[in-house]
Formats: sequence, structure tokens, C-alpha cells
Amino acid sequence: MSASAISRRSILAAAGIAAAALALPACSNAKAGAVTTIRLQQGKPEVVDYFNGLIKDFEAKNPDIRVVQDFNGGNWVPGLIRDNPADVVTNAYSVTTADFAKKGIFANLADLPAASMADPKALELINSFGQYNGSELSALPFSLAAAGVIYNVDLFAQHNVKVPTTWSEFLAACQTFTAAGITPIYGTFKDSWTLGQPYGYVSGGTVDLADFFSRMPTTAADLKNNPDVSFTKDFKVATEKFLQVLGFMQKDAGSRAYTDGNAAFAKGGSAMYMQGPWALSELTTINPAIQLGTFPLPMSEDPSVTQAQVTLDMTFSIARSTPRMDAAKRFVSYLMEPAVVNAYNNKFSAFSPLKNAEKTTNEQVAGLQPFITDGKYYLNVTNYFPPAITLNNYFQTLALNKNTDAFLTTLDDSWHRVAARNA
Amino acid sequence: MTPTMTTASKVTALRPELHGPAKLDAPRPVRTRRINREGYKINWWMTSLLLVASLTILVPLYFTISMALKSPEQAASGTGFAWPTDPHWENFAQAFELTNYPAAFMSTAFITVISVLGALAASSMVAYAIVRNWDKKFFRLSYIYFLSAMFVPFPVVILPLIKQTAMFGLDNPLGVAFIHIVGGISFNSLLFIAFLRSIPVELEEAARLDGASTWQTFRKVIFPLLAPMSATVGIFAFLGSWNDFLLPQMLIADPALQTLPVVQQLFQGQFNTNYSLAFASYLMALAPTLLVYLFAQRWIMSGVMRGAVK
Amino acid sequence: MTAPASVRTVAPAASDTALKINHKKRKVDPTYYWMIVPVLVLFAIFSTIPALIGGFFSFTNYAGYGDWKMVGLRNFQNIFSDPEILASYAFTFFFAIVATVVVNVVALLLALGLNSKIKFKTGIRGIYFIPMVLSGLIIAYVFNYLFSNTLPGIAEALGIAPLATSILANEQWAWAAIVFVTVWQAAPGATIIYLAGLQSISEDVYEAASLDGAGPWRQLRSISLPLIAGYVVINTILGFKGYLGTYEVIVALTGGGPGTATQSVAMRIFSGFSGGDYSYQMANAIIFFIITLIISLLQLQILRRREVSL
Repeated sequence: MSASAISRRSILAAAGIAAAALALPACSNAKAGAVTTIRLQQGKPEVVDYFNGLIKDFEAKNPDIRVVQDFNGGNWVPGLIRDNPADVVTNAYSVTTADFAKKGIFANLADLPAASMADPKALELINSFGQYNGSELSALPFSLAAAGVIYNVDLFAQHNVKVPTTWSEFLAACQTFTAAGITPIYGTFKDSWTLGQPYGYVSGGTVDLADFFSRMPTTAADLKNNPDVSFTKDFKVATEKFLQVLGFMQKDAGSRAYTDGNAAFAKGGSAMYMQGPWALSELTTINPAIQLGTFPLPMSEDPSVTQAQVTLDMTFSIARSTPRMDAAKRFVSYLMEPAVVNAYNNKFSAFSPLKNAEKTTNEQVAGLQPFITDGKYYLNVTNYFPPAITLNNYFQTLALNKNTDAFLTTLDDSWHRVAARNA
Repeated sequence: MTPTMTTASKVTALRPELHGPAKLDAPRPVRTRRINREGYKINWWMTSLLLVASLTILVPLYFTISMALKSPEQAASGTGFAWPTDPHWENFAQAFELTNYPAAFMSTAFITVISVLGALAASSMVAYAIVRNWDKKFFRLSYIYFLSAMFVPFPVVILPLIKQTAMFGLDNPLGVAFIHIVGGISFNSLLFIAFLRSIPVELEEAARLDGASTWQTFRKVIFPLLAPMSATVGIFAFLGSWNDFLLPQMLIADPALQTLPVVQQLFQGQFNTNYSLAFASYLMALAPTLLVYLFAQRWIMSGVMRGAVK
Repeated sequence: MTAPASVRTVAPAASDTALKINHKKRKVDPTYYWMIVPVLVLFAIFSTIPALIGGFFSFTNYAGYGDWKMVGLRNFQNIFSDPEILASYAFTFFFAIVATVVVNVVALLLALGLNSKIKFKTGIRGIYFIPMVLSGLIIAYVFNYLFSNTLPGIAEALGIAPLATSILANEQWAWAAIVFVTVWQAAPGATIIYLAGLQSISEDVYEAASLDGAGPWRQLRSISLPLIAGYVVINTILGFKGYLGTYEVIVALTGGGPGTATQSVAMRIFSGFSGGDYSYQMANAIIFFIITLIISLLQLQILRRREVSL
């Protein structure tokens, strides 16, 4: 007993010293002088390092501002709750972000010079989710990630397959590869989110998504009006074609994850891969010699109506309540400088959402450039779903069970349940 | 009495001290042919069975270490079992830098130290006051009040808690430690109460007769007597606060003060594929508790064991 | 054997604790109030008030930020007509029951093994208790890789076709992987409790039984198991409540999939924080709280009956 008491006391003493030592740096952390510190909430782990570089550059040019990057995405809502959200926040703009915007969480950025430099089509996508006070601009677009079918250029050449421009050409291409013993498309639906890409392509190419979702009921009142719009009616073709696409994937797609897919495709394991541009750098890391291209999945027999899929992969917003509005605006203005925007988008194989943007120098996504230039693009279908709907899990069920009707009914029911909660 | 009371008395009743583990380990007269260090005939069959089964524990640990030392290409291929041909120690350096390990470590250690000390102080005092005044309604009701909180699900309190800690300027590691202490009161004082009931009142009366005040009695007589249970409570508090993820993630406003479990998020994005870097970082987050355990294994085991039977 | 007897003879809590100098109308030393009241106040502020506020929000349409208004019982009505919420309850209970059973069986076997006459006792015990000190979330990430890459890889190499795909991608069996990792983490804690129980049984009892011609199996059935029955109850109660709240392991292993096969109630509740679905999931949390409370009270009731039968 006494022995353990002594050891405990010494441990307590040691703990006390440790606590005292810890308290010191905490004290020295106090704010120094005229430097304003702003917080950037940035939730993409893979670009944390890149943003640290940008921040360094910005701080060198603006010595009176310090920027702290917070990559803990779970800190955003708590920040709102404690009335102390990050000053600047990055978002992949979607119905979730729009919900914050509609509640007036974000400041109006319409009068920033950067707003007039942005492509009106990109701004329209942001505003299509609804604007605060009917006219405010809640976010500035920084990166437009265009996604399509990534293909192995060498495999296409070896088997004399041209980039398909119609649905039947696409099917023919898949059959050619199957006949040659090559997996046409590599599937990774153990990571359910990866199914959002193929489903996005088939639905975006067969349904006018913006129009469809503007007609879907979002409140209990809408439901009472019994609107004549449903997934069951409008998404049947898309879902059937989705299953058709999945049929060209390898057998064990169900137990392969995103990482496996990257490794397999990079090593020539399949001819095509339905992923966004974020996968490209992974693929070239694994196999630096691989030749890659991207084409939008054609969903009809008329090449002229084919569109590319995009996400507003990164947008900037400023918290309306920030007492450091000036510093926040200067930081956002810096980030929106064409040189910064172009450098980022080139590096991450995305497209600049600025007016008269330079054409991409990246061969891997050059196939999508004409569609971006002509404004022929639509937003990924997943961006329209509130997070209360576990869409990715539904995709996974569909991929495993292949039951189109059950999937569409689930979507409708789930959508209606969420709407019913909104008075 | 209340149902909860029954648990406490029941658990106390099963306390093995009277029989004592010491008795088991002591050398005993043996009837076997061969007497060895253990003092009993070794059951080799069971020993080998347990050794084989311990692979279930060791393999994932081996795997974590070997993954942490691989290059991204090695990590992305094969089953992950092979030991890396040329260990990439720089993974650790890189993860160290990316997560700002020293800051996260200090923050985690700060929370843990405060949580442990606070849990010991608050729970032992509460337990002492309750046990010694069990005949008073106020203290009995306080006890039931504390216990009732054990059933409230964490998500119910978290959002209002974020707001309240911020109001009190506690949206920082200190606030996390604070909530750990308050949240642990129920369970920890339950342990102390069970233990206190086994301490004979006579020890205390002697001090009283010498003119010691209640506080002095607690400080000089009772608290030292609680040492074994304090070890148990301290260990639970240590593990609980070191490994906690949700509270620091939601309560700490300043990202620079974030804890080790939370900064691991850097490697958990859906697009992240750098397994080797992630595992190097995971390993560095696991290492402190693992090292403490390896060095203090005997002490921890007896501490936890004591808590278990209370 | 004194343990069972002492269970019966433990007096009601009050009698053995009150100081002998106590009188019915004795005055309580103010020091005791100083010991408990500040903690009570903090407890009220940081535990009870948040719980009440959280409960209150379940009657609103609050998103966690922005405006809100009262909506009465609408959230509760919606919960009961939400098949996914109901499915998550079904899964959670199924999982909690299976996990409780498996953890206790494994822990009991492990305790018997570790308590037997084995070589390297300290070392082997040391290994088996490692999982207790490790962060559950990180361990689950390690297992995710093992299940998805290592096991299928090995199975393929050995030509075992059914195992060549990841168990985490199997709608029928993904839960088994979750149970496995849960057991991996939880068994050591339960084992310690059983070990403590086993060590409280005097060696002499076994010796006497052995002299009477009872074999190991008979000793186990007639001595060990009956004497640690009380610990089974403790482990079941402690464990079951914990497994009902399972969250981190599932998030790290399956994310609720494949499809919606492994969504736990806690996952649904936490989803409310990111999705503007806060008040709806608060209603879910309140229902969950009531169910947990009822089950805990029922278990304590059973525990009390158990005590009588001892």
C-alpha cells in the first residue's frame, strides 16, 4: 500500500510539472500587436499542404494578416453554434452548402471585384440552389472539377477503339474490350461514394437535373400539392443504363475500394475508369508512364447534346458575422487572382471558373475542355441530395441487388420523408 | 434502496481481497515431479494455445508497423503482409510534420493530465461526502442525480455543450478536460464509493479524536487510503481522455490546439490513398498509450483489475 | 467459500457507512457541502442543462444554426414512420446482443486460459490486454485494410474462393466483421473482470475437488462457473449499454454499408449534425435514451433477482 502511494505521489508530481510546462507555450500564444489572424476552414485533406503554401505567399504579401488553416471539417458547425465560425470557408458547393447560405450564414460577395471576374455560368450554378435575400452571392467559385470517363490511351489504341461520341459507340467499345479479355471499366463500389460518378454521368445525360430538382417537393406544403414529379418516373432510363454500365465492370467490383481501383487501372487492369480528376494524380503516381485521357460519357445517339459533368469542387465563402471582414475579403481576393486560380486548377486537373480562362494544358482532361468552353456541363446529381438521404448507401444496394424499381422507390420515399420534415 | 445502490453493494460483495491474488502467485506445496519457477506444473498445451491465439492481437500490430514503413507503391500492392524491403523511416518524419505532432501531442497531454487530476480530486471528494452522509437525504439524492446522468446519450448534450463551453471561454483543451471530468463524475464516484465502503470507520475516528477537521481527515487519512482505487480511476481517465475523438473535435475552436486523434483526419479523407503515411501517423498517435502500457503494465493491470471488481 | 455468503450478508448500504458518532439529528459538517456542492453545480451546468436543452430542441425544427420554431411532436411522429430509423434500431439491437454474447464467451475462455497454469503468464497476459489501451477508431482503420486487402489476398493465394472478396462488402456478413473488431477491443476489459473473479476462488477449493476425483471439466462446471456468475451479469450490463451506442467501429469499417446493412442508431443520430437534420435526430436520441434507460433498469432488476438466487 505505502509503496504504491509513494509511486503515485511521484507520478502526480511529475504530472504537475508537465502541466506547468504545458501552460507556458499556451500563454505565449497570445495575440501579438496589429496582426489580424483569420481562420480558413478547408476540408479537403489532400490539398492542405498546397494551401499552406498559398497562405505563406499571402502572408508574405500581407504582413498584417495571419491565416490559420483548419482541416478539421467537424469544426464548421460547432463554430456556427458558438457564434465563432471560421472567417473563410471552402466548400464543394451543393444543396448542403446552400442551406447555410439560405440561412444567411455567409456574407454577400457580389461587390468583390473577383465576383465580376467569375464565369457567369459558374455563378449561375451557385445561385441555382437559392440565394439569401433573393440576390446575394454567397460563394465565389475557385475550382470547377469536370469529370468524365478516364481512359487508358494505349489500350484504346492497341484495340483500335476511338473515343466514343454516342451511347452505342460506347457500348461497342466495351464489347470490344470484353471480347479481347480486358475489363472495360474498373468498378470500386466497396467505397460507395465512387458510384456517384457513373450514376452522375448516366443521370446527367438523360435527365435535365437542374429542372428536375427545381420541381421536386422540398417542404411539407409542396408535398400536399401532390407534384407530378418523381425519381420513379424520370430516372428509370438512367438507372437501367447505370446497371448496364455496371455490367461492364469486373466481377469483384463489390469488394474493391477506391485505392484498389487506382492501383488496378494504373497498371492497365481495365480500359476505362469512371472517376473524377482527383484520381489522375494518384494514377500517375502509381504508374508515371501511363497515358490517360478523359471523355464525357455520351448518353444518346446525338453527339451534339453530350455534356460534361462538373462539381463546384471548391468555392470560397466568408462568414457574415466575422469581425475581420476586411482581412477575410483581402484573403479571398488574393485566392481569386487569376494566377492563383489557374495554378491550382492546373495542378489538380480541374478547370478555372473565371471568364476567358486559359485552356488547360493538362492532356489528361483536355478532352473535356470544349464542353467547359461551350458551357455544356451539368452539376453532379449527388450535389442535389441533402445529406439526410444516405444516397451512397442506396447506390451500393442498387449495385449489389440490381433492383431498379426498389432503388427508385427508396429515393422517392426518402426524399418525401425529408421534405415532410421541412414545414 | 434504489436499484443502482444494489449494483454497488453487489459489486463490493464480490471483492476478492479476502482471498487475494497474492495467494495464488505464492509458491505452494506441489505434488508434481518437477518444481519450477512458477511453483506449479506448467500446462504446456494451454500455453501454446494461448501463444498461438495471441497472434490475433500481434498480427494487426505487426501489420500497422510494417505498413508504416512502406513506400506508397508497396503499400498499395499485395496483401500488406510482407516486411518492407527498404524501410521508409521518412514516413514518420513526414507525418510528424503534416500533423504538427508536437503541438497535437502537447494538447492531448495537457487535456489528459488535467482530466486525470480533476477526475481524482472531484470524484473522491464527492464520494467521500456522499458515503459519510448517507443518512442525509441531500447526499442520497445527489448520488442518484449523478448516477442518472450515466444514461444520457452523448449526442443529446453535445450541441448545447458547444454553446455553453464557448460562453464560458472554454472552447479549448481546458474545456475538453473540464467536460471529461464532469462527464466522468458518475462512473468515477461510483468506483470510489464502492471502495470507501470497505474502509473501516475506525481509521478515521482516530484522526478525529486527534482533532483533525473533516478536510484534514480527508486529505491526510482518506485520500491516501483511496490510492489503489485512485490508480484505477486515473487509468480509466487517462485512456478515456487520451483516445477521445468526438469531444475535442467539436469543442476546440482553435485548430492549432487540436488533439492527436483528431488530426488523424488528415489521412481519412475519401480521396486519401497514402496508406503508408496514414499508418505512420496512426502509429505515432498510438505509441504514447502503448509505451505507457508496456512500461507500467503490471501497475496498470492491478489497477484496472481492482476497478473491475469494485 | 465465503464469497457467496458475503453476497447475502452485505447489509443495506447505509448501515455500514454512517459514522458511529452519527445521531439522527446530527449536523453535517459544512466541509462536506464544500466537497459536493461545487461539483453538483458544475454537473448541473455542463451535463443536466445541456441535456434539457438538447431534449427541448427535439420539439423544434432547429438545424443547429439559424432560426427555428416549435413543431410539437412532429419529429417523433416522423421517426416512427421512418423505415431506415427503425431498421437501424433492429440492427443495433441485433449487434448489441451478438456482441455481448461473443465478448463474454471469448473473455470467459480467455480468463480461464490466462488463469490456468501457463508459462510466461505475465507476458501472455500483457499481450492480451494491449487492445484495451489503443484508440478504437484507429484500430478499426487497420482492420478495414486487413479485411479488404490482406485477407482476400491470402484467401486467393490459398484458393479459398468464398473468402477472396472482402467480408466488408458482403451484405449478409459485414456485421460479423464489426462484431470481430468489437470483440477484439472489448474482450480484454471483460477478461480482466472474469480474471479477478477467478482469482477470488481459493486454490484449496480446487484441490479439495481434485482429491475428491473431480476432473478439470467437472471443476470448471461445478466450481468456477457458478462462482463467477455474478461477474457475467456485470459484464453483460456494462457491455450491452456500450454496444448499443456503437459508432466509431462501424464508421471506420463499413460506413453503414454495404447498402444500408450496418447502420447503427448512433450513426443516424450523429448524421444530424452535418445535415441540418439536428432536431429530428435529437428526437431520435431522446427515444434512444428512453429505451436505454428501460433496458438498464430491467437489467438491474434481473441483477437483483440473481443476487437472491445466489
